[in-house]
Amino acid sequence: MRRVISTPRDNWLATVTKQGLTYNRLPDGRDYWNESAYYELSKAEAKVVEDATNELQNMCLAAGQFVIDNARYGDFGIPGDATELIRKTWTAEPPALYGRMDLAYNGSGPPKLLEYNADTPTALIEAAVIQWFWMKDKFPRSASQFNSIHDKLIWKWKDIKPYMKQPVFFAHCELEEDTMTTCYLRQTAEDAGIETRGLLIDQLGWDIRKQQFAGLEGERVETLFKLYPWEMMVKEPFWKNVMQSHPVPIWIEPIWKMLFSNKALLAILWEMYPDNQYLLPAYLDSPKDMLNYVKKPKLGREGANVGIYKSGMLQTETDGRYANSGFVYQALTESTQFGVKTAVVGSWLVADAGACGIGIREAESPITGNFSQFVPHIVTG
Amino acid sequence: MTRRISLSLLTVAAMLSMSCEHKPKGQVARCVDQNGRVVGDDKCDQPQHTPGTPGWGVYPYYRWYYGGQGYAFGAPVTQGSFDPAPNLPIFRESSPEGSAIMRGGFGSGFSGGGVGA
Repeated sequence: MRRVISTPRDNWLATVTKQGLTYNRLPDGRDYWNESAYYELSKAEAKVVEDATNELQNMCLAAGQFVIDNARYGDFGIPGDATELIRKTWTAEPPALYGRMDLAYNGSGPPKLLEYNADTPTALIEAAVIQWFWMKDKFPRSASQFNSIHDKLIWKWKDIKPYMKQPVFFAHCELEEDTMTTCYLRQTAEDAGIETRGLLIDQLGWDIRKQQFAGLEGERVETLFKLYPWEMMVKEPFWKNVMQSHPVPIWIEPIWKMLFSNKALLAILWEMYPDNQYLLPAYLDSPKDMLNYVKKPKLGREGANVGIYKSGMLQTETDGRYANSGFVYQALTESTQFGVKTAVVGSWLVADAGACGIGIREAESPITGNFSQFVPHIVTG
Repeated sequence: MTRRISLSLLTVAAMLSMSCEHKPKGQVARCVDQNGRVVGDDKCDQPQHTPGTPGWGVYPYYRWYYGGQGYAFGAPVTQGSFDPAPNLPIFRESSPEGSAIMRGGFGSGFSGGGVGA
């Protein structure tokens, strides 16, 4: 696996914008999409990522069962009234759609799980669509890509279609990336022959008289995809209505994804599978005997509130608003380094279809966050 | 692992812009009291004292507020207006059947930053 300097396409910005990447500007003014470089993986390396992702998924499923069987919800900071719904949905298996594991991998040694964005993963359009068209322009015949995300999403919608009442509502916050990501997923659902409707998450209604969730015209909401995290939902006024109306609507993703989208999962996995090749040592509440480690908030986003320690001394840290969710301490790995760049491989999974593609984000700092750039990839050999 | 390009992906870029044109556009009308706090719609539907009459101030006690944020009963409304934006459909907090519908019970965790991960 290597990072290769490349010449951007003429009119690349207009091209990617037209294809759906309308949220290209980073907070510091740089472009988010960066095609002045790309990552090249061999087929064997892509297979390593695919196999690791699938094995990690199986381990995560076992970890979920372990947490439920042993009532380890406290390690995740999950409120008590959410645990019953987690247990019920884990058993009933309502439809789930997708997730993205962030892996440390540079081609040497096995990939290591850094986190699992299982509830509200983004960076989807660039992984599924934008980098695919980039590859077709730059390497029309000489390369391929680890990327069947789009087709697998449509397949999954078709798979779960018999188990959902239509229309499926799609709710999101009024932010460009969230809007476009939800629109894209809505498009894949429509491609699967599903009727959809859109609304903002704060426009979702609760019909007091009928005791049911309602759309913009007062219609009953029976299936809802929400790009809005459960850890926020369980603290908000309509949470009591979720509990009251269960099992309607069907929420995609289901609430049991709270067990995966929380970095406490890393410590549970290490407890269950010590020395597994795809895991880094990880602990709750303290670094134990580790000297080189990363301190991560259990519910952090975009690299916020992350601290890197070497020889027990703080080297760098980011600020943010997630410090009160508790922390997980994970061993530091060097396999995110490509020269001065820190790159994380986002490995996409579609439920029951397994690993189906990757998207790579890189930063010049050791912590990837909301200043990271998306860099496309190819698979050769 | 890799795949051949599908017809659906070839069309997805064009479809994305169409799909997003269907994203919700409109303004929610909420009934608020003189302190700008959300109350039940029925308050605004009831006959009210004429504004400007002695003892009742310039504005009616209850009136409609359009768009912005703040949906729960008792919550202050912000970032909207007492004048509806032109050319945008207005959603009442009552459905056509007359059911009382509360909105804004989710979304307070959104503070301008993304909630995706």
